[in-house]
Amino acid sequence: MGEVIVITSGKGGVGKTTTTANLGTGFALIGKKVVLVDADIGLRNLDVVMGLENRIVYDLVDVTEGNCRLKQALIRDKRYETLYLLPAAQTRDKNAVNPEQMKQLCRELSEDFDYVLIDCPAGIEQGFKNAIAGADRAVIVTTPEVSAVRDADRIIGLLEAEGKHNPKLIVNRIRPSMVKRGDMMDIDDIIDILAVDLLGIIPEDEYIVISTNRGEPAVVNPASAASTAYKNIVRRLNGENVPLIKFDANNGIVSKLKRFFGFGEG
Amino acid sequence: MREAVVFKGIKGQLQLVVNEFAEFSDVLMQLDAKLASANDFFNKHAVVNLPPKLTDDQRRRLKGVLSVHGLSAKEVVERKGPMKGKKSYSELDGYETEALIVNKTLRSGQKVVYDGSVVIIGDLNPGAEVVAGKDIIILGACRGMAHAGAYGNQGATITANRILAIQLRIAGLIARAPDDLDKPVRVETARIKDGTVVIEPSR
Repeated sequence: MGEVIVITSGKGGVGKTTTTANLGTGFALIGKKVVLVDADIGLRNLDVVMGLENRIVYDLVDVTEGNCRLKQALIRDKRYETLYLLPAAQTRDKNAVNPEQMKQLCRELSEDFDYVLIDCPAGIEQGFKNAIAGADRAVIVTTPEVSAVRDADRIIGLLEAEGKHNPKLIVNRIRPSMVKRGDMMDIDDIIDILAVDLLGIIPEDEYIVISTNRGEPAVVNPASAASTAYKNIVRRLNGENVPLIKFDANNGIVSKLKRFFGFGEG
Repeated sequence: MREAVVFKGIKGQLQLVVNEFAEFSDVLMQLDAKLASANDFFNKHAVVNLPPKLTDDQRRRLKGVLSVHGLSAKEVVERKGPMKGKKSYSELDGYETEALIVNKTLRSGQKVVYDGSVVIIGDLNPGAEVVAGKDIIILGACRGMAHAGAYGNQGATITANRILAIQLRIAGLIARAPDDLDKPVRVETARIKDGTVVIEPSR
């Protein structure tokens, strides 16, 4: 049985879809069989980010309504044999599926795959409830902004109410130079409020924009600063113990970040 | 009018206390309204101790309301007669309190309303609310909205390891934090003094 992981945030635009695409591709890079499920029905994006839009024949709603078999709706990635996508329907809305159907879908997928990653829509309504219904674990994506952290906190509370405890946190789009100047929330501030385990930190990276437009996740490009961070997160989710931050008493957060991202003094 | 039904935290368990003089239909209605406004505060499948002295029909209907909100009921057998002998330390551990103990961090969107004192073992995060009839004690950071003495008790206080809230309310008074709030370094208490809310180190 594989593991079902939902990637969620509450707030929109913090990088759920980008994270899902990169983590999924990262799992494929280490040889895991993985399927990405786009739960953002009506506003599908994951297929575009993965560069698979032109291959969609059937979608998630077709599966739940019985218009096709699950295997028919799965799209195999053009680069990696073990990477699949289940696209969302674009002409329907969030009410086209219910949590019970999503649970069933996740159960079926987890029989065939090592990892099932669910790209959750923004918000806390029906789409969110559907996306988390079948998940074993949750990964929360936030950016170092007060509004994103506030929404992440709300999401953690809602996950707890659904019996999904101990979500892991990814802080996206950190700019070490701004943190150093004190112009951006640092990791400690965020963890102080959210009080959850940190899964990883993704640095701000222009290449993400390029890769999204190309439909080719940044994780495959070793020159991308975000790539290493995504790869480390994949290894941590896979149960490996990859050190996150080395604490030195007299060094601040910036040197910790430098070491973590691998562009520091050594 | 006294409330027909309240939740009390006793010995780490939730006890449902029903006003014996209230109409039973009011009890059911208030219970339903309270659970609905609790906004998922109670963990799903949390166990609630039912009050003693109920008819079978009343017990069944209370359980029905609880289960609609995902809670299950446990019946408590009344202990007869006083306990004999000296209390050991382990018995003292589970001492009784009238306060509601919230054993977790309250996160954005979560709200607790209680007519007695509330003790939060965890943080009160921004966007979360606590409304208490008496005092509020937070063993953690107070960043959300705390309203002590909500039914007019001017002597109520708010105590927290770190008071970082942007707004505090005691009885009918609302205090807004200054824009340049210093980071607190020790336990502080907010109370009403001379008609305004003041925050000072706890004694």
